[in-house]
Amino acid sequence: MAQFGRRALLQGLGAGLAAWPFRAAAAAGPLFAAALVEGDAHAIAILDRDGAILRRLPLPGRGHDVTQGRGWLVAFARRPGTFALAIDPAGGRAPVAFAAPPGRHFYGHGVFTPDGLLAATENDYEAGRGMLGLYDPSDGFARIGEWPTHGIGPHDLALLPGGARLAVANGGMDTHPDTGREILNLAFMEPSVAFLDARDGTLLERHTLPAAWSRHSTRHMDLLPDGSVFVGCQWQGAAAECPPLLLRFRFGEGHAALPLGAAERAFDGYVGSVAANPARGTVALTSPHGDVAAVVEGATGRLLHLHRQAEVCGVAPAGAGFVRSSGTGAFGPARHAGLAFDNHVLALDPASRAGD
Amino acid sequence: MRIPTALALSLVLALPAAAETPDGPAVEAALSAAADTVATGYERVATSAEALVTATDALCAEPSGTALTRARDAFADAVLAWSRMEPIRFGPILSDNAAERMHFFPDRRGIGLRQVQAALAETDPAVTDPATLAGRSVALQGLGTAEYLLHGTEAGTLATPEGAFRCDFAAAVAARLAATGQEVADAWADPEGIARRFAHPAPDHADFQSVDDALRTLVGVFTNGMEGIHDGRVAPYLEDGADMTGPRGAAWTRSGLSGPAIKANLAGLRDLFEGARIESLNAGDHAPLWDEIAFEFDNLLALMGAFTADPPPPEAERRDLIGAVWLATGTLRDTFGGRMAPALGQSAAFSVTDGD
Repeated sequence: MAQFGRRALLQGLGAGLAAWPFRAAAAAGPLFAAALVEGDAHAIAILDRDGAILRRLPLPGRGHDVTQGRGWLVAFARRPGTFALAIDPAGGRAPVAFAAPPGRHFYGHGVFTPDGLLAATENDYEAGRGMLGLYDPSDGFARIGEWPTHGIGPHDLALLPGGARLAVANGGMDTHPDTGREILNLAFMEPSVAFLDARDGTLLERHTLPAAWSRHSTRHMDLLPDGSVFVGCQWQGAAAECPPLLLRFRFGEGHAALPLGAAERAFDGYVGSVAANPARGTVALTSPHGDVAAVVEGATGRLLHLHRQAEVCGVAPAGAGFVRSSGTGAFGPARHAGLAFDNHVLALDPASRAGD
Repeated sequence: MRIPTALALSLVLALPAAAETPDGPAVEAALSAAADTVATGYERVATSAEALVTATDALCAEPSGTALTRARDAFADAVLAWSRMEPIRFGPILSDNAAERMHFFPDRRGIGLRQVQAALAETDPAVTDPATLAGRSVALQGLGTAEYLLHGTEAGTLATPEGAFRCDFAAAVAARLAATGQEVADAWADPEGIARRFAHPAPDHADFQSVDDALRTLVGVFTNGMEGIHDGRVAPYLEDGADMTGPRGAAWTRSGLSGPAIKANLAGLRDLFEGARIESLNAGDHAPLWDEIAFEFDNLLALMGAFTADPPPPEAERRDLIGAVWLATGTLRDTFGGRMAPALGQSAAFSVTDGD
């Protein structure tokens, strides 16, 4: 498996670096970041809500999610990739490329802690355990430590309101780069959502699923200001036995299933992305397997809207609604022929846009 | 006007997917034929496991070299029958860890080996009774355990009374294999079961509510099945210094069935492709594609035939052959995902087969 060293990555960025600096704050309307692929070329892009690509920077391999904090945008390699690229959207600092250490790969997601560290979900694949790698943006994203996620196959994670706790979706699937996407522990999966102390990684709570749901991999999440964590799952069992794909977790309470009723089957056992809209208290979930997106009311789980769209996956809050992207090049109302957006879209907050 | 949610959902769900899905009697005929092929394959698994029960019982009753050879032959038949079905992962084989009970693989952490060695060392009485073995680890009751018992360290004792415990253990494993195989075969033979739901999708089914659901599953079988063969079964041969009779990380290295099992994996997918008469779905438009797939299957089976020939070809030639198999399985995987999927009205963009 290729390891992307800092030098090699920066060399590979080439002319893109010169084109990168831009005053995001000067652009009109909300902005978004997403990883994309066009032929053999991989990139991270900044787009407006109309889907216009304002800036684009090459990545050395397939990217997955993007996170923001401390004035940086960080794009992660999709699993089992090992590179990450931090970009200053204000353009004042040169991009910083960094890599997961030997024996680890990224899962494609990360979040900034209240202490200003970047916590990235990683696979310690020889030991088969999930970790959060801690990277210090004030020191060139040097890896300064790690915390166990208390589960196998951590995927998405989120910082809860107030900043005291992290929620991590331990999907439960053990994989190894040597065997591709093959799941090594289907018979012994134990998916969970773990709540960790965001300051020191101490495990505060760990919520597992019922035994009959052991193949229900918790994967993607977003949250509402009341602390509700909405988790989209991926079912690895027989389709006839698929549990509800959207679960809600609350610290101190455990989980509740939010069944989608007749629409559930349309997701084909897979939620590719989850996004919450705090302005409306709504939650969107998508499935590129089922070519479908839904919006539910966060408080009740009531299905509000269902939308058919080929390869829809990326979704982020935009105004009172959501903007969606797809593997067929759709972003909001725009269609980019020959281009495919990866699974996630990040809505840039004004602080990151200004580079604060 | 406010449209009731249920009506709005039904309207949205009734919209066609982005690509056109084949429909009508030809599709149901193809799906029925596919279900018949799968059902026949599982019958073969159950029958071969039952023959292994007979052979191991005979070996235990009267241990001898001849009886051991017969048991090993029956084991090989069971492995090859299972290998034909191994890439086809949908329906009852995903329930109650049935696939892992048949064969716990890959087993990177050596769980199965540790457990079988411990059971032998301790002469654990629970493993010689199929009823109690059923309650033990799934890694202990499948073909991997049978292989170790029949071909592993000190397997020769099976030909003598000294191997009585080991033989009873093998007979119990054979009984568990027969029970698991029969369980899955019965589920496919049930006239009201999976086969009917798959071939005749209906909105009240939990799994196959539409032709799209069934076709998406069928395409997924080919794409994911071929990827599993490519990444998990063929790739181990490509490591530096790999043993061409059974490299580290390959299945069936003790019994020498690594190559024949890959050939059976491919034959199983070919059987399904031919059995389902997929070409009948859209013959006019896509005849060259179906011809190409059929040609690639023939090519792969010929390559694996040469690779597994008796006497085996020289080492260098075997390396070339398996290298060609690796390339061709990768090509066919991409053909299924990128070309067969859209030909059957399914999305084909880069994320369609991903779970991430």
